[in-house]
Amino acid sequence: MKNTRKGFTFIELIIAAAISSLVLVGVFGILLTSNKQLDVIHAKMSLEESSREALFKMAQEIRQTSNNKITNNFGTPDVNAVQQTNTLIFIVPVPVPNAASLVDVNFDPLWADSIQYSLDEATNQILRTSTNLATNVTQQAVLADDVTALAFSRKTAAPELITITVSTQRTLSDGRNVPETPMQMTAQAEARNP
Amino acid sequence: MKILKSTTHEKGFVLLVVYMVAVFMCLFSIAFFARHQVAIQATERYQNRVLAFNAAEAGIDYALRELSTNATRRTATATTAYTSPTVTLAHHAFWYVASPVAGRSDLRRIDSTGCAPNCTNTSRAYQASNVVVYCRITSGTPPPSLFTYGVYAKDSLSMSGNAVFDSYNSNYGAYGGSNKNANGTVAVNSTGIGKLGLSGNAKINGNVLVGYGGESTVVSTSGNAKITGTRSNLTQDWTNPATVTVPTGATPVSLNVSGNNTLTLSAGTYSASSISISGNAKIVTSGEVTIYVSGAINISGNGILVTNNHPANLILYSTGSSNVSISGNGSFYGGIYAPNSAVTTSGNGDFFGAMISKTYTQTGNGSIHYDVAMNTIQGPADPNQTQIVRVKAWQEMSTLAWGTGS
Repeated sequence: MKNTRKGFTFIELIIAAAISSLVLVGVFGILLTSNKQLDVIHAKMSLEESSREALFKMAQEIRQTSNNKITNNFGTPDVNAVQQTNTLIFIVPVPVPNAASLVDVNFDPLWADSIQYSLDEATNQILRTSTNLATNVTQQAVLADDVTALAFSRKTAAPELITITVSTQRTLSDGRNVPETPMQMTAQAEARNP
Repeated sequence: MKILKSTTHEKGFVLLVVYMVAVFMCLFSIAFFARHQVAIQATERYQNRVLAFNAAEAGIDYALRELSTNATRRTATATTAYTSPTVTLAHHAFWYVASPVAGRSDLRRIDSTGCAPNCTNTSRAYQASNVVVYCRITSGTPPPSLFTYGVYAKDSLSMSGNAVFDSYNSNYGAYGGSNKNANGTVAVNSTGIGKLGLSGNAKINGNVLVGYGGESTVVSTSGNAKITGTRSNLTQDWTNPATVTVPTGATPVSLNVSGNNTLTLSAGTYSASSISISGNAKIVTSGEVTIYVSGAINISGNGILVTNNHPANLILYSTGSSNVSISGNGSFYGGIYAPNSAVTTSGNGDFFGAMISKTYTQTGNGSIHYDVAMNTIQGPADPNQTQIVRVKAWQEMSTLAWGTGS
């Protein structure tokens, strides 16, 4: 039995390799593009989540204060009677309340800490700086990264209602800005204590 | 057939490439969906956290409204904590506990718990929020002045003998000298003929009011009786003073004293079935004393000694319709609120203060000196009235569960 079958010729192999390469390049190209897009989506989701978390934390603390315990100057109202500042300083009651130390002897809030929210423009971080009114001990925490702008505003007619606006943008390793223009999220918090 | 047979035995890498691509696509898809699954869960938790907080606040609002409008709840929570049933809303639920505050009957503590999607902590993406509020309960509308007039009688009033009605202000000292005026009013809410009768040397140094629509015939004078002030009518919307009930917390006491006995009452609110003072007996009060009496009041003998002779320091409420009688030669200082009782004063002792009665009869020589300072005394608040409940301190218990930095 003479084997009459012929193998691939060199040219056939080259053509097959070329076609395979094209297919693989196409597939990996698609995967690469998808991965980049996934990075963008992930970055947007991450920014959205961190902004939302920061807004929730700030709103939660602002709710604890009183209108007359917001101590920083909001500046001159604009034509819509809205005042705006990029730093918020206010006083809150005992930071980790428990049943025994909720209020003072007059059943008023136990004012304990001065809180400051500000944007560190060098690191694009929202900083929370708390100072204990009794001990003067200061603590600092980062509430969010990739923040390009932070603003607190209120209407003169309702000074207890604070609107927080956070703008975020992240620069990926390949130099792309996500999103192309900073993403802006807002939340409102009303100072609940009288 | 030969070609087919040889083809089935050929080996190639296209299938392998297809498998590889499929595997890559699967891995890619799994990673993609895994990332999104995490994001979806985080979003759901965040949404439930906001809903839980809103539910907790709804619980606070619900409790405040209950305390404002529900008198039973308001009274009960002054001594015993109340736990509400769970109120289920569309995507969240809440319940609250309203507790008394020791030593402060006007304060309540409300612990509200909000949860989403419901209050079962094994639910998917379960979140809870706790808010504590201290609130103060105050009267919505201040009760009206208790003693607008010096003497008020619902049905009829008569004065005889040498009785004189005038006014003074106990805030400026004792009656007499320059503290002696004609600023008081005697009122009868009747339009019947002669329902305000003055005889003998009775004299009203002040004004007179009769029922709305009443003619001048309502007032009758005889002998040397005289009215120095104006005569007019009560307003159309005037309503008779309401019957009062004994408030919660009044101290029961027996006020029947006779012989040479002396009973001392310290400042406070008391309830008694009757008051009877006879012989040389007396009751001595210390500070502001309020007494609710369901039966008859007979004050004679040495009567009741009131701190600083200040009428506002003694208020007698008749909660029934039994008679009220003040006699003897000693002066009486105080306010009498007896809108369903026949009140009589007799003897030579003067009456300092103000009174509200169904009918009032004065005989003898004792005069009536209306203390205009009693116009500021408010009547008891209606326990069923809607109250104002204001937040005094507000605290979210889960604050800073996320840390404070270093």
